[in-house]
Amino acid sequence: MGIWSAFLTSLGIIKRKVNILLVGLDNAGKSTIINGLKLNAAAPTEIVPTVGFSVETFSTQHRLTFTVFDMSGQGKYRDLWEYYFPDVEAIVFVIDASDKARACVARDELETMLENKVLRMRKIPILFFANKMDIDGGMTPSECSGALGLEEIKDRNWTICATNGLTGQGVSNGFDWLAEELKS
Amino acid sequence: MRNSESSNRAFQNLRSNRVLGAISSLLRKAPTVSSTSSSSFNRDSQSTIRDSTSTLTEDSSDPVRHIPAESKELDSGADSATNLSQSLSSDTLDAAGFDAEALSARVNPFYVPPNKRASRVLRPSTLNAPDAKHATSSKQIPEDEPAPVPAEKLEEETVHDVWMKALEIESTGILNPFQACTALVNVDGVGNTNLVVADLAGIGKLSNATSQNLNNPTNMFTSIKVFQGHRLLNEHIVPAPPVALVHFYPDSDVTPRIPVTALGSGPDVFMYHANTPFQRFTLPFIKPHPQEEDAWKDLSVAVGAALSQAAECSGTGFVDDEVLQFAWNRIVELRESGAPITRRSLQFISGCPDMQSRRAMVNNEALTPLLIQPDISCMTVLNRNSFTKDAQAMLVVGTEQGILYLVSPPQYSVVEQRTLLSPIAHLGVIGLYEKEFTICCACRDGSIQIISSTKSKSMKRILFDVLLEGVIGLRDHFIVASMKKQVFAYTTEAHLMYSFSVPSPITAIEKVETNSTFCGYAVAMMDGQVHLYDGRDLVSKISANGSVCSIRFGDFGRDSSCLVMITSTGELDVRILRRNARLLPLKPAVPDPAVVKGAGEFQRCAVKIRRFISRLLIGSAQEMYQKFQLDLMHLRLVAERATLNNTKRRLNPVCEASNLKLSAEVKGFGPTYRIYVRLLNAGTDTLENVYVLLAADSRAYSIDTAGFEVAVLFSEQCVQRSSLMHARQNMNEGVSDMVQVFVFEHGVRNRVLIANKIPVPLN
Ligand SMILES: Nc1nc2c(ncn2[C@@H]2O[C@H](COP(=O)(O)OP(=O)(O)OP(=O)(O)O)[C@@H](O)[C@H]2O)c(=O)[nH]1
Ligand SMILES: [Mg+2]
Repeated sequence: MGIWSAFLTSLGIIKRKVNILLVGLDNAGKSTIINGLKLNAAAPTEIVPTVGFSVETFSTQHRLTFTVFDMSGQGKYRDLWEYYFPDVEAIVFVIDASDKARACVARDELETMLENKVLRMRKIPILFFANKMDIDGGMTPSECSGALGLEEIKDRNWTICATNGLTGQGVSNGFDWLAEELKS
Repeated sequence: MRNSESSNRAFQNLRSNRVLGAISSLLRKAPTVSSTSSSSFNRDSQSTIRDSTSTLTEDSSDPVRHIPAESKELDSGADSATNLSQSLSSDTLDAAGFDAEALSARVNPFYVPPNKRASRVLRPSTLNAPDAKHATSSKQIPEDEPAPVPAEKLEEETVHDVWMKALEIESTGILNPFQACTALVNVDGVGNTNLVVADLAGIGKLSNATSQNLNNPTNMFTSIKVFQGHRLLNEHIVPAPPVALVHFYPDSDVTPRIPVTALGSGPDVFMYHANTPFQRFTLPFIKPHPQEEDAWKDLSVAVGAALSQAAECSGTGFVDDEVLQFAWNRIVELRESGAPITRRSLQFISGCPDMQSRRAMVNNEALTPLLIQPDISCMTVLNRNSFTKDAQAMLVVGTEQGILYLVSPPQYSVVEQRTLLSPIAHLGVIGLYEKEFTICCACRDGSIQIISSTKSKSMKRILFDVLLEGVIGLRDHFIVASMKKQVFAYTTEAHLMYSFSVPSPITAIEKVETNSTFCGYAVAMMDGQVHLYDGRDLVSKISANGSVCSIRFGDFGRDSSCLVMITSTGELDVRILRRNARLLPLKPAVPDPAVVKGAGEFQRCAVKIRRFISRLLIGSAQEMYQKFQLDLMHLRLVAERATLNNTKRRLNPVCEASNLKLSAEVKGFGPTYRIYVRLLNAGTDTLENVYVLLAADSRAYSIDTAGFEVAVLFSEQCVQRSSLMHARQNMNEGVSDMVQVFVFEHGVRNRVLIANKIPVPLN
């Protein structure tokens, strides 16, 4: 980023670009959440499981332009996640709060991710979404945090918020937190 | 203690197999003739008792190692191969430019390519890393740390490491879990795999059911339960008690890929597709033994005559005692000769004590034709032409009558059928139907029979002195679990690879194939332990809350690599294998003193070599030698053939020897030509034993002198030869009009010096 654009950015005339990695198990609702954020785009009628990954760009009122790498959560594609660790400034981890049985799988993936060499060097913040809060009998954010062992993450900033991917409820709260984190 | 254990086991055997057979036959017979049903029940329960006592006596004997007592091979043919291979000289191998390293890997079983030597060493010390909790998933752990931690602790840690507890449900409502009747099926074709259990709930109620209840199948609540995660998604009442449940894809190209769940019961296979009953297939009737058939034919004629006499009021309406006695004797004779006889005959000779009851029975039954309905005892699936999960497959069905059927969808026709010596209890398959396959049948008499598709006559039988609990087919060998806490591994050629004992009686065995890297098996035991093996190495231990009756590995829900266990109390326990988990042997492989030095590496060398060695170890060295010679000869033939093809197909001339000049031409206008060949030794050395070979398409031409020998060719000497060649009358287009000339040196190396092609002038 040149001095000129840095200057413009600081004035808020052009927005700063931020790369975000969106991960989580398959069916957690990642694509659904990101779809709700694309305000201008016509909402597609149906969201299909992502193959590989997809890139979405959208801007918020925080003078930031988010480029989101929406990764596929299917087992065979999870190896792709780590290739993006060097280039992103934040990670969003989506958890399906209604699926208790898979919490252990999510925990395993999270642990694998946090053990990654690159990520251990980069203390980028992680935003957790306890998605599908509308479904009865699901886990609350604190239960999610217990099930995934989030308390053990001490070396970086993180937060967890309950969301509903279908209505977009709770999502903007999460991104507000992220924008604050990224400003500093 | 021991007795109670074995009677427990006997009970389980009884519950799983015998009772099922009895019930299913009961159900089918019940509506027609009640006397038959009671007698068939008698028979079955008798045999159950016999079986359980035999288990008892076996168990109380000394715990000797149970090596198969008898191994019969019905085919042979390696000898001629050995001779042949010896007649071939080994130089051909060099001539083919054979890769020396590949060869040494082939010949020396302990050969390790230099670049792989270091990485082969497997140490349990990886488990002892500071961050032991994730030891198996992290990659940067120093390899050369000592391992002072006791083995116990190591094992404990790995258990927690590799498997994650996903689900634990105390009551699923499954009353009689049993391995053959559970499957992990992607029922509706979307990415959510379900647990399907054909539950024998009705059997549980059997103990206090009255006989009239038994005759009314609607009182039985046998059902197929489909679980999605922890909840029961669907439940169908099934028409008859199931004995086997499998799933497969009947077609190759229909999308979405929705598998068919097939349920074997009596002579029928009921098929469910996307949660709905879909199709039903019935196995054909079996023809009884001709002598038995004859006896009953005579009886039926006699009954017919007696009845017509009775209609004319001139007889008793019953068959003459002599006829009856004669038929009785014939059937008894047949029975004593060891041939299987039908239930009806059995009842006739042993169920009717006096002439009176025999007469009545014959009058009742003789008029209906004597046909045997097969009873399905087990099923499995054989893929047609691809190993992928959703590839088209066919059913392999084993029966109580000892007949094995291969049933091909979508018409569900029997495409192949084999008769074995004993009722089939378990099936394992390896391979593909259209390529090559081997089926291993574990029979009720405690034998396995290995049937292979390649040698159509080959059927190998190995007799154990213990009953078998299960068979599975891994990539290239079968794992056989016995009821006496033992596991055997057999190659597709019926050679024992290894065997070992497990701590507790085995209740179920299941293939565990995670991806291309791991292919092992899980052994569930009565004490609630589940052991995971890679070959003979124990790689993981899991303990469940009760005796595990059924264990399945595969996709479950949205996750792959799940171990789904159902205990005898109907508890469901699902563990998920960590995605990055590496399954390594828990204990360092203890070198067997019997095994030669270098055995550690032996475990990790190519399968074929491992097979050789294991065969050597069990003493069949001669056979191993023959096999090796056969393979070597095969290899040589392949190499020679390739060389030949290469030279034949090559259009441009070959010139290996620069000092030899060849000029050849074909003269004439046909149909007769003359071929002139001139050889000039332009070098300074004398050449010996040079052969010249003329070859042309034999469909078009015949050559009078197809080859000649030049014994000595001095330096600067020129030799000229000629031969006549005739075009054939029926020469048609499309055959090549070329004559090939090969010059080769005969001696230590049969190498081609020069080869050339010359065109034949058109006629
Ligand atoms: N009830 C409910 N359903 C949701 C919610 N968010 C997402 N879903 C549903 O969850 C399903 C999966 O959503 P996706 O967005 O495709 O999930 P994904 O994480 O992108 O999955 P992959 O791309 O396969 O990794 C869809 O059917 C959504 O409709 C939510 O908040 N509540
Ligand atoms: Mg997606």
